[in-house]
Amino acid sequence: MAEIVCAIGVPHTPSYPSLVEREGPDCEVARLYRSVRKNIEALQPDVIVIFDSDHLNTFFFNNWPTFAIGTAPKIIAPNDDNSNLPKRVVQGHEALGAHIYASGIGGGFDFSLSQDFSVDHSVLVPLHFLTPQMNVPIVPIFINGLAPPLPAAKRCFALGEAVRSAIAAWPPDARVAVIASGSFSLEVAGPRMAPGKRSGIPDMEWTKRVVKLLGETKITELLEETTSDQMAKAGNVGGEILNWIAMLGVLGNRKPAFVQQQTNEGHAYGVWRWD
Amino acid sequence: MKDTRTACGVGTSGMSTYFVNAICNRTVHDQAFRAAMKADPEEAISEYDLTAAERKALLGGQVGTLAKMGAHTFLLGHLTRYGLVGLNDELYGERMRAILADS
Repeated sequence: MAEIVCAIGVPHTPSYPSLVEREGPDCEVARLYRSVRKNIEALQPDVIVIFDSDHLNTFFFNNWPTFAIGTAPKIIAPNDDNSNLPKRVVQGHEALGAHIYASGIGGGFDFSLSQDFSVDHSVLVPLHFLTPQMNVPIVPIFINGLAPPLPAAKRCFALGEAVRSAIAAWPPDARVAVIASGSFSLEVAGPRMAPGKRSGIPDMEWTKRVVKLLGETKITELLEETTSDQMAKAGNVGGEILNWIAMLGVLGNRKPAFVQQQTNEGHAYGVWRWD
Repeated sequence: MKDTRTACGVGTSGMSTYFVNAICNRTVHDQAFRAAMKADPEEAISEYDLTAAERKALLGGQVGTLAKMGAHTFLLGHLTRYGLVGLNDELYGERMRAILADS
């Protein structure tokens, strides 16, 4: 049977690939992603399930899912042009995607399904840093984190639990890593941008609070405090925290190997291991 | 502070705001459309079913007004990213931040 080997949370800031190229391997972003990547390299997953919020590039308001799963064998990435990463084909894991889809529908999670789709920087930037060879196929699970009304935190946690059950019941002996992509506080191009920038961090206190709760495994508190008001206060993409919360549903009450906030940023890097 | 949730909501804005969002989004994914928006924005959006107020605000780069009408701020950002409808980052920031001062 399949087993989950690790869960990971990272940001997906589109400028980070070029920032690391510019500033080199000792800059904070490079170091943080590397400390996460070491775990992937040690645990050798066969497939990655990634919780992600599409930035209106994969889907649009003509057909906007709250929860969707992608089961294409070939996925074009990126479909947006703000990450400086060349367009390429990323492998999708059709069989695990189809299994989680069916298991979710049977268990009360009515995913939308896409068998032909592309993904934006929010999937490719994490892969660029974590599996730079792009040799581990992915199953993207999309959670609406950008266009309120957003799904409730408890619902996203339950989604993660359902995904854990689905993976545990998947017959192949595969090693599965789970990634959550996103920030806790971030405003992109909205009124709370920092002066002279296209983005801002409206709620640094919330970021610190989330990191503290994650570090102390106080999941019940985190679910209580991640309200729609709090996510709105955290920025126009503040709902990306829901990807981390779904990942926490996969974890149960497992303690993190580490969770670290990036200096002066509204996001963090975290690793949970099963061994 | 203004509650920005409704300003970005899907179900809360009118159908024609949908087209403001769609125009912004298309500038990312359709390079010919982006070029047309650069060359002659009035012509480029002529086929879209916008209200007169939306059309005026969009062509004037009044992104704060569009946000208040219900357009998604993340999508409006594409207009300044590509330097469309007379926008640059400074103007965009000024007009977008004015929303906070208004409330």
